[in-house]
Amino acid sequence: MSTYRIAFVGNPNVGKSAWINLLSNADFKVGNWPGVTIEKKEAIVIWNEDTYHLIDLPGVYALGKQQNEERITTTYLQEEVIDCIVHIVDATNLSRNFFLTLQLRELQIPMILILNFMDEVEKYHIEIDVDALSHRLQLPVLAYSAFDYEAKDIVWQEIRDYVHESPCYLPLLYQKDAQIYTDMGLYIHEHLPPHIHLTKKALHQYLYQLMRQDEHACKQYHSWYLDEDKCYRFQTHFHEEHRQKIAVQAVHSLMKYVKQEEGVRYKKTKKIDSFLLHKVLGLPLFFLFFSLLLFFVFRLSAPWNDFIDFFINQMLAKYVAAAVSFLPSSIQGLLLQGILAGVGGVLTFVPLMTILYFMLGILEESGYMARIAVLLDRIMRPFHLSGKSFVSLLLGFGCNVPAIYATRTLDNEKQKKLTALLVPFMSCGARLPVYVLFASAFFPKKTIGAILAIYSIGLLLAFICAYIYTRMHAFQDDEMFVMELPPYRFPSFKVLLQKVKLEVLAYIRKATGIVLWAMVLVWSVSYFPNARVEDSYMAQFAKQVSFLYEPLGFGTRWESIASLPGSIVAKETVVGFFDQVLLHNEEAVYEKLEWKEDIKKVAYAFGSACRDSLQSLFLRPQKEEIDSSLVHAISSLWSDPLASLRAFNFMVYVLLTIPCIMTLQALYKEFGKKICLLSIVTMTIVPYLVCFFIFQFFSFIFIK
Amino acid sequence: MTLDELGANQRAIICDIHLKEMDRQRLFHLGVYIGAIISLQAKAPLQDPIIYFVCGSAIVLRRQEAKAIMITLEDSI
Repeated sequence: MSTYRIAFVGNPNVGKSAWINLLSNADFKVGNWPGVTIEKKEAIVIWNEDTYHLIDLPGVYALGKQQNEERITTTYLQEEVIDCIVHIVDATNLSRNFFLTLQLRELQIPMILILNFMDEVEKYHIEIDVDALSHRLQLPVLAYSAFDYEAKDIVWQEIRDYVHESPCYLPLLYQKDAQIYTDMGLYIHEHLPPHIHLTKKALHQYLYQLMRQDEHACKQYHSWYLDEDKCYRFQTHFHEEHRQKIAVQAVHSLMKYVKQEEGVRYKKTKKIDSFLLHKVLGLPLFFLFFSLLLFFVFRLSAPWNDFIDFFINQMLAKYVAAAVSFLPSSIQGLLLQGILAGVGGVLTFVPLMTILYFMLGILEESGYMARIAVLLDRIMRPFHLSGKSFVSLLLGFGCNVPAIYATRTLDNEKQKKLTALLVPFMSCGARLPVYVLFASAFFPKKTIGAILAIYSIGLLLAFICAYIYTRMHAFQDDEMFVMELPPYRFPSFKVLLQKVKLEVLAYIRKATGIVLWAMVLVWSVSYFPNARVEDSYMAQFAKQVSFLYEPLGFGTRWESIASLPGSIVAKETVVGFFDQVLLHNEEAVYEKLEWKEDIKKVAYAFGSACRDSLQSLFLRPQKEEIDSSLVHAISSLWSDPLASLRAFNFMVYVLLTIPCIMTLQALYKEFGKKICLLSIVTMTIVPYLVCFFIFQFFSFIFIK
Repeated sequence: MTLDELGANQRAIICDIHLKEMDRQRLFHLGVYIGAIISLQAKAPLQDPIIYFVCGSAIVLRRQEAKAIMITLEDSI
């Protein structure tokens, strides 16, 4: 019974995920690497009482400490005990992939090389002499594609055999370099202090470190009382630039075993790109694809959101209410309006998330996401944002929560954080009912104009805030922009489904905690002390602080202020709050329990959700009617000459106020406390300042 | 001649890279190194960034960095 650790290493876009899926039967857990939003995948496979830990390391082009991905992979390989490296390379692009192969060999960890995409190799008539490569690199080389199921057993067999080996990888050096290297090796071997024994493997590992001027290796050298001058000459010979030359030379020598027409794998890609990156068509095509994406994500999922809402808040709530009817009414309220509604809130997002991750997965796996970065780079550059940030920000107009999760597709940690902080400025779908209500009450003739003005204010402020944030060191991105543009590939359905499954499960697991507490808190302050909202602690507090909001225009009515804390649960609750306070609508009264009938009802709702989501692709969904009595009640909130300005300011405040709890928890789970707090602070100060300015400025003009 | 001046259907050899050591290393690992053969693959709609074909793959560079990379056209060697 032993435990082995197997690390999967390779360039980005070489199909590592597909290989881990295949070898682990797609059964692994996902987490984050400490401190960054880079996914960590780990699978445990048991074979004949032996345990194999498969670890997916972030895709890198080289070992180093510059980028986050590089730092994670390099540190892990250097500091953990690894029994075998499974190095995946793109067989259609060996000349570039081999640079990493050479660096990995220097670690002297048993390594298996897998040439992936062999189906494409055949298609492109690339000839690879696998045996010769294996001999030259001293590694077992397996040539398969991850969609080849026979490959699974063969690769597993190789891994199980290879973890017991202890191979020694000699450097690929020529003539003078080889001579200098061997001389140094011999010198160290012969002049080591008598109590030190270095195996052949350890000696080579040490020589590599010395070459790279590793501090630790240099110190060791001194402690062995070896000739300093010799070390100095050795290191100056193998200086950085020369080592690069050696690597180029070695890759060239390896490429002798590969026959291919140059650029053949980009032939099709080039043709597709001549449309998708076209001077005139490129950007319009992007906007077209993007509208399609938004359309699919939000239209397809809407009936399912309604279904889950119906199932939990009406059906399930009815039965829970009946089950707990013996409890005091405050505890009943807590269970139903606090906890169950919280769980429902989290779950209603699941259909949306599923479809979104699926769509994003297609964009990424096909290679179009990288094109988006190219298309929009010039436009986003002044704001220190990547073209990919644009995707997140636009998604934010639908819903801020998935928009924040979508920042994972970005390559740079600072840009991820900055984008996530800007997302709440994008006015999401849940804020729309509030605008519709207030705009139809106070701007009956210019409803759409007023709503558009609100959206534009959000967008404008996002860019202003981006400008301000990037003056802060934490968001200044001075890294050089360079990236690989992978060839277009058909996304593998299996890999996509796997991705979606993991992301959605992770979302549910993460979301429940904080959201529940917030729901309970908001419910309590609007319930106690005597179960009436008008007298609740929240209302009392709103009346106390209303003077603070008077300079913003809408502070003259305490209801408008008291509606805001609830908006943290979900923005649309603002509407429900006014409904409750102004029209004294009672909370839902549940119907009788008739479980046979109810099962029929749920089945019917399920069926109509199926039908509606399909129909929504072709038909326009019916617009929801606005409650005219509520509009009337709202329009009587303010009646002075500045009424419409006050109402407009309230809408602006709803737009800019602290994001909803789902968004906050997404920020917290993805980026930690600091970013979450920063967002809360920004979204407290900005709306106040903006509303203050708008009201003071325009009321001054009006009065004049 | 600098890399941003490279035209379509031209091939060139990189002869110098005037960038920070850190950035040069990053480029090296992506296959952009002195002596590598490079050609133009495509340009973004706004003519920046530019996509090059080098060392078997397409690499995206901003004009600013491309200006810092010196090249010699292949015919003139």
